[in-house]
Amino acid sequence: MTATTTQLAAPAIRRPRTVLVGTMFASGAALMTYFGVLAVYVSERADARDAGEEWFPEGVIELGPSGWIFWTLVLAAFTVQWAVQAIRNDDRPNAYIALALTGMFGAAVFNQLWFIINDTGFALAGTQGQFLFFVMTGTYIVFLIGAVVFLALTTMRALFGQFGPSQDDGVAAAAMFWHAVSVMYWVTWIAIFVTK
Amino acid sequence: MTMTESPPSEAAESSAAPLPAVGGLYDWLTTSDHKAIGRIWLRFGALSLLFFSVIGVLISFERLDADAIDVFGGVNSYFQMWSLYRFGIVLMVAIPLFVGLATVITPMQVGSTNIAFPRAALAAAWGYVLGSLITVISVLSGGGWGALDGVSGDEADAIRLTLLGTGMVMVSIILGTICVATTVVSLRTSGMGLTKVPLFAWSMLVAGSVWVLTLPVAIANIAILYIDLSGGAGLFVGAPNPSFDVYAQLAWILDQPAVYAAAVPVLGVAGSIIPVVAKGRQVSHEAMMILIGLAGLLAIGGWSQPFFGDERDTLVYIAFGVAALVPVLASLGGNGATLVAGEAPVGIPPAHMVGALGSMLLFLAATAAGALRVIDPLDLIGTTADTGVLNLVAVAAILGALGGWWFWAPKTDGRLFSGIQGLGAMTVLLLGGVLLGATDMIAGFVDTPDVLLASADDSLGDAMIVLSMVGSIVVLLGVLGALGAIALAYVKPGEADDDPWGGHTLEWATATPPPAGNFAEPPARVRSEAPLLDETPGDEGGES
Amino acid sequence: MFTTGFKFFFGLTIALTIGAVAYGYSTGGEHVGPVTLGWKGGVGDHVGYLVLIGGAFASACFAGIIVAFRDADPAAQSHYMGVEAIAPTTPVTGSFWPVIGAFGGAAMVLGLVLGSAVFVLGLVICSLVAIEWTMDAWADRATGDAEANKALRDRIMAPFEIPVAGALGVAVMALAASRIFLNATKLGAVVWAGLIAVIIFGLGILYAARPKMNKNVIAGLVLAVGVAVIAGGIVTAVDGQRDFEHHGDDHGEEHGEDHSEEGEASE
Repeated sequence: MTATTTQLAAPAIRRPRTVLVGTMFASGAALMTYFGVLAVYVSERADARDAGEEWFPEGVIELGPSGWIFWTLVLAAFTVQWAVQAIRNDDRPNAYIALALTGMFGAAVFNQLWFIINDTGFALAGTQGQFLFFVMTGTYIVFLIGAVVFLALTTMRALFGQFGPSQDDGVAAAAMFWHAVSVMYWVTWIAIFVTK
Repeated sequence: MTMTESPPSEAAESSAAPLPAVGGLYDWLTTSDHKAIGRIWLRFGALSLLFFSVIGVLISFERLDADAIDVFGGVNSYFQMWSLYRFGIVLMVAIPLFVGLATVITPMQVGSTNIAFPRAALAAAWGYVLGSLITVISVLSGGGWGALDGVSGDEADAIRLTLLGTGMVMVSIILGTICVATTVVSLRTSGMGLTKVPLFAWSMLVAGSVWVLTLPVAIANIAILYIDLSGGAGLFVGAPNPSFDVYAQLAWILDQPAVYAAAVPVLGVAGSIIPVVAKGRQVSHEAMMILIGLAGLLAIGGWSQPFFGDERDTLVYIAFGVAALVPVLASLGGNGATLVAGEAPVGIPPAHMVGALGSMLLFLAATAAGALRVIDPLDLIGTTADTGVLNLVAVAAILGALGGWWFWAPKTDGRLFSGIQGLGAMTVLLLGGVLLGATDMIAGFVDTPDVLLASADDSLGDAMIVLSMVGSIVVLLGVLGALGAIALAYVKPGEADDDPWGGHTLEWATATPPPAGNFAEPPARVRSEAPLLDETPGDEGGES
Repeated sequence: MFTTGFKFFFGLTIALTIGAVAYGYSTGGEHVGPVTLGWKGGVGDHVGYLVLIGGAFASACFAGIIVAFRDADPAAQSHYMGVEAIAPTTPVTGSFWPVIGAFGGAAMVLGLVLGSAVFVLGLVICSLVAIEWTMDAWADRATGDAEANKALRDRIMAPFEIPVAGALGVAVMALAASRIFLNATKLGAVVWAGLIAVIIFGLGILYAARPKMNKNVIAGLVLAVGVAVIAGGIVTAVDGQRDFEHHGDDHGEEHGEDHSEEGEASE
């Protein structure tokens, strides 16, 4: 195998910004989807408050577990950038560790969010607040899974030898989408858990 | 895995080339060539155009006399077809035609050998086809965007399928658009700064950005509706059964300002065609870019969702509605100035010129009608003026796309379409569009209600409904003429030169039909927005 | 300094921000709510305000990224890569996976209405497509030789693809056949069994005679399976969901056709 491939031509250099620009637009679309759901959530909550109705039962939504997700994602923002920097430095062991750590943080966020959803005891067919709580967290989970899958596929290509100091665009793109998904949660955290 | 440790020799010359094409169905399903991918959008868009034009005529028949005519068999069926026409003509015809045209043309315009992410572009094209089929079949099976008169359990399932099918079409449009926009941004050839990008490519970047910012908001609405229908208490769909509320939550896509986004590429098509017809440069390329950008800005939607709070009498809504007229009018003026400054064609005008200018006139009429509609004292919102604006925008977009298709036919289909037939079809389409839009606007002035089958209570309104039906038939005739001409071009293909119109931009530097990779050799360094007009390629010129 | 792309997206940001503030105040915003994201006072109509602010935020991100890339101009990209000129694209081989992915997406859409089995089928298809697509993308850039890239890809993926495809094929066929057998009459089941055996035998002969099948035939098969999934799904949705797991005493003949449809839908 080695003898064969070393005699082959090198792949053509590809434009380093293409994947990043595409991911930029895709992240924008994902954010707008999320803002679309959030807009309806906040609007209906305001209407409920104006009508003097209870949005969530008192004490059900706690700040603690949701805060842990917040900080998990802060950590993940660093680890995903660590992966990008490691690939740029051609430091593959560090890149793999960072990518794996980020994926693990993603799984942890999923786990924490699932715990919160179960802990609330809300029903999808319950009140408007409960229904929209499910829609918000469900939408977020879909994007979180998307970001983790993006990272996993990028890691797979990295493991097969792709990406490096001059072609780090794939890892950087996965990181860009990851940050967009983190922003979604931070907004959610304020909208749902802090301002309740 | 060994090869990862022994990278290929950097010194060896790359011999990468696409594997040979097999042809036939295999290529339709596996192609990575942007031209073949674009043709999937165009051909299915053309079929959809025919289908929805027929639906439009049937609806107009039903509107003639709600009591005597029962074309669809009930109020729910009428509502399903009425809403199918509206969503279909925008999401499954107008926008996909532009995505298809852009998928074929913009990579060549910017001097690229292919579109960005060709596999994603192929997935988007097939996603659009499948999403459209799911939507249409589910509507024909009792689904739709809600109902006026209650539904059965199976119909509720079909409604959920309609919503998801619509969402699939939107996701496909977004994906296809991202491929086009990324191509314009990051795959330009040497010397081509963004200010030197051809106007059609620029308009697709602008329109694509607007679609990327707007359509996801509608997807969010669909997600809420779907989840509510699937397990919620029906709080958003008009519990316990899906009602008009479903349509009402998504209707903003078909309303100002979002509906204008479907026609923004019209400005780019005209901006690319008119200078070629005039045999001169666009009088002010950068000013046209700004105007297209402004038109895009004023078409960003999703923020005006009357279902959650009807704020259509506020300053911002009115300002957006009135201001939308300005860039379209100015753009038309710019193209007019280019025609005057150049050599205006003598005798019978070419079909693509009629398509380009006709679509701009219709878009102008749409924005003018929209400006009237938002003026509160006129009280036009909720009347047939809503449909008037929608139809004007839709026919403008369709006419613009057909004009562009006629112009770029040597590159999209490898042949010329008949000029005379095209001229006839586009003139008929233009007249039909005017008739359709104007009658609905006038009927709106006498308070003829939109949506429901109800008498206008006014002889003028009744007369306008009859004329609107005539308009929809004329539009159908125009569509039949245009599609017939395209079909005929395949039966009797005419010879097409590489550059039959004396084009200014890089797509005309390719062979007809363009080969895989588009260019025999990389284009020379671009020095202006019309590289083929530059006498000798040189090294001057910045890249913004 | 400020690139064209930046000017466009930054212009959108400013216009949408001003629009959001103006919209907030014109729809009942109070105090400084519309300029502080509702921190001190109401923002007016929440939907419009938040979508406009969201659009402004996304546009600001676009502007920041695009100016950092210098509009992704060819010269800027060449400079970044340290080369004189850079080709716009690299060759991408044709692949079935995008269209299979589109059909997988459609199956997921149908499954969201029909039930979990079709949804899971769509999910499995999309997951496989994601992996295959990634490997195709990897192989396209493994070396500069398209034939060698294809060979590399096949060498890595074939050991997984062939068993998985075989297992999936057997599973789908077994599922479809079992549905037919369960719902046909006694005589019908015998006829169906004979027919299926003949089809399998015929396909075996065909493959033995022409191991290198025409690619258009393969394409036709892929399309046929995809269309069967979608058409079967829509038909099932339209006719209403059936109890697929019903094994009661009464397997009336009148239900035979319906259950056959369901078998198709499961393919």
